[in-house]
Amino acid sequence: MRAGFQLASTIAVSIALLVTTASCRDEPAAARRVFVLGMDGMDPQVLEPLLAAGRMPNFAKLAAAGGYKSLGTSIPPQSPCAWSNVITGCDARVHNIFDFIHRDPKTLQPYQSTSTTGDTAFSIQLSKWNIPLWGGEGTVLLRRGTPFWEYLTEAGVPATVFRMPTQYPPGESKGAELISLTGMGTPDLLGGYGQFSYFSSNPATARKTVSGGRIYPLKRKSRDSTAGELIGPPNPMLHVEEGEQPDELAIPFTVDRDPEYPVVRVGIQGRTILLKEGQWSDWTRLSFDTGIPGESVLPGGTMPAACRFYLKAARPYIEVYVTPLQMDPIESSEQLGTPGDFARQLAEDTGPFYTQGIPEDHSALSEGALNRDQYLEQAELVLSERMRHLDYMLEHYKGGFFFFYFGSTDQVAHVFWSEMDPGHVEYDADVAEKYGQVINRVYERVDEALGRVMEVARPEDTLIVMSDHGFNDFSRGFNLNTWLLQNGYLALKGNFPQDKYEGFVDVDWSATRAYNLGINCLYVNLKGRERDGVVESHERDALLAELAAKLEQVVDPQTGQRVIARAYRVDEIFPAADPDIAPDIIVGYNRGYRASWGTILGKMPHELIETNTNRWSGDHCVAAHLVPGIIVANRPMKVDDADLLDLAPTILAEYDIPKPEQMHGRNLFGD
Amino acid sequence: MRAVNNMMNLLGDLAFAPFGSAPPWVALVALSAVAGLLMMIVFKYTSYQTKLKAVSDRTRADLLAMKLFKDDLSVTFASQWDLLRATGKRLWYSLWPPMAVMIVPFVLAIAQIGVRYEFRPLAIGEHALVTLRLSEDAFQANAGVPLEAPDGVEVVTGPVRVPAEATIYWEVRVAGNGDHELAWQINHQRILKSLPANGGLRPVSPRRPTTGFWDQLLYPLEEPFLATSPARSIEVGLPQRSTPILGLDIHWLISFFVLSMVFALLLKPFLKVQL
Repeated sequence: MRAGFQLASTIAVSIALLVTTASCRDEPAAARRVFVLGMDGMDPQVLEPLLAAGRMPNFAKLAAAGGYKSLGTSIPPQSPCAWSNVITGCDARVHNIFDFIHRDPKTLQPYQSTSTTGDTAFSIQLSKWNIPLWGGEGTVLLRRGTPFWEYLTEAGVPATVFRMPTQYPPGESKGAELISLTGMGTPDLLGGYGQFSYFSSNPATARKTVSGGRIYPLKRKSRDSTAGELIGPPNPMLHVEEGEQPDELAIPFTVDRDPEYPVVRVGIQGRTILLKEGQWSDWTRLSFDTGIPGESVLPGGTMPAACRFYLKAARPYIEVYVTPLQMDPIESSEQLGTPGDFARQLAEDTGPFYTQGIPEDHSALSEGALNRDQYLEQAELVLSERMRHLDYMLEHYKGGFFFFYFGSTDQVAHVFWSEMDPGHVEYDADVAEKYGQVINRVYERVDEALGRVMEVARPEDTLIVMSDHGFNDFSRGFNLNTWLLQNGYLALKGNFPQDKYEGFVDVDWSATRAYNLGINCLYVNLKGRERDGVVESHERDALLAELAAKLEQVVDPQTGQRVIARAYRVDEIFPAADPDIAPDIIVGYNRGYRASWGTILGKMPHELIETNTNRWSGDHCVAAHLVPGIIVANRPMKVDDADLLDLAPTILAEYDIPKPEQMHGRNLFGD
Repeated sequence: MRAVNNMMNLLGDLAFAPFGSAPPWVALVALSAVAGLLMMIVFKYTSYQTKLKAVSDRTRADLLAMKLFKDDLSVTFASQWDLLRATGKRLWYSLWPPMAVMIVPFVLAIAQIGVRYEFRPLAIGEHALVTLRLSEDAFQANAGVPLEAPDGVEVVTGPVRVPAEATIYWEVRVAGNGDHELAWQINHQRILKSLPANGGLRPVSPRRPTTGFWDQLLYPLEEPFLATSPARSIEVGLPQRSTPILGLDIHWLISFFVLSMVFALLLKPFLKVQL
């Protein structure tokens, strides 16, 4: 009886919405309102059971009003590539993003694919100081193609684009008002994806760098009093001779422990922070001083930063975790949003926030600096901050296009997949008992977020929820460079020492025909393109055919499964892609597999396929057809095989803006 | 000093009373206007107006001489020397006696404005750091002294005791409005510190002072600790108050100085004051 009533009411709501939507298309295009919520990595395999169980009521309501489909993702299904498809409505032929990491063919040095540091400012050298005078490009966006919101603002439609990935630095409006905040791709203060600091008073602690962080000893001054240094970026004002390592900026701090209770006082730059065990501090705003005379008035003389402290333990040793240093949204000279002072305004109104593109610190979890519960607390801080920002943005929304991004769905799935998937090699029923619902709970939280948007959206508005890709288990890591070595495509100068060759140091390029760099990219050592290329262009086609065929036949002896589902030849899927940037083959791994951690940056461990014991247990850098995303909308979608590329033309069509020629997608709501 | 502070606190309350619940910038602008007027009046009646007039006339004559005899180097240099001396004299006549007369009341008045504009009361949900500094002996004997938080104040973290500084820290959270009072019982003495929560423009003190002159001058609201008290100081980390005027968020002291100067200059012709 109750189910029948629910069905009837859902149908009635749907009809009402459709009728209202159809009748309101007459309003001026610029006055229309389109809301898009981007849920990074939201996966149909996770979402559908939750929908069936009634745990995602707002998603269910939206799907009933319009429709729900799986959404074709990018090749490869990595977030920078996928969101670039969304932003430009074009594939990698136009936007030039093929992986998180690209390589410079002339130096074979890897670099972050989405942005780089532009020309440095003209400067003069005075004594040991290097004083920038004028010019300098700052950070430059490497993603090509025109973002769809540029067409919107040109046509007079105001746009809000909150934390869109692959959009750092932010663009400017071409007409109507653009409000944006940069997202994934925004570096921490050190210029990378984020580097935590971990301090310990344990005398056995030595200073060392780990993946995504650094460990430092705390120096004991007395039984309960210690001191350390928070290390920042290299001093930009210091003149450095070629080959020299620049001095790093540092802020000294003290940690004093109560003689009896598990609480400490952190003293840093005149501020006092009290922390009990398991407590996170509020944001602490700091300033790294370069030491140059007149630093307080000289542009770049100080580098503002923000971080949070976490007291992991007070006894027997003081253990303090510090988040990666963020660019301070209030003081930073880097532009973090549009208009230029938007980030400052947001921080002043809602408090300082994570500016780093991917704030959930999975590296700290993988390296043991945080345990599962502590990581979840940190991830919750991020999600709560995002919810607060959503409320703020909705409160200040004045019309036009509205995009808001959630990354928690992706980050939490990466690290808690093995607790949810009994097929994962690291699955442990006891651990799953406690953490098996973590991903589901994050999905429920973003359902709440959708509910908040639905409260603001009028029936005639268009509302879309989409994800850039789905998810998969990552049980086994494939050492592609090892495979290339074992199969004679890559050669070393000496013997074959395990794990030594990070960065291709001892590769014999004169006998190397292919190499892997990045998560999914395989490059031919092409003559005329690569620094030490040996493969003639007329040999390339046959080599690619051979490699693709052989790769698709690789079988994991432990499981009997194929490791690679598809080896995409880039000349076939992306003809006319930029030859200096595009890889030659994109390796589409099978379910359960991914590139190993080592092979991404050129390591060649002896073992060809290894078990992934990293806390990063779920992934999506596989064959695209294995990890579709999702799309839910309040209007019926008339395209069966919806794809990320369709988003931009669909949004433009909502405002009667014709699809630009270079866009590859279709209007999902069109005939 | 305490008697002076008590009187100034009373005068401060009276001066701010007419502004009731008006936005803080209104009182700041109005008081700047009053200060500008008073400065002009005091200056008029305490400065050597005839001497200042003579200096002004001499300056004008020197400028004229430089213009008329611009080809004559000796006249130009002599006039420039005269101008330099005139500037010195003008400065001296401004300082003595007017500045000497105004300095004490002016500083006391600034302290009264400061206790209202430098910090603001805590809002519900806000946290504050409480720092209690004791004498060495008192710390040794009372390191475990608890903070007696009244209703409406919760201790979030602490105590954290740092023996090397004879200091104890707490972090508190305000859960209810009101003029809260934090208390400690040390060596049979009850030590108190105000913790204001909510309310508009009102005097607040982040520090209960010692008997030192500057401490009492800067923090005039609360009774200073006697030299025999086990407590040396108590601080509460109150939030800074922001008082934007015409959308410009400038420190209140700069706003006050600039505005009082502007008002003083505007009133100058009406009061016929020679500067």
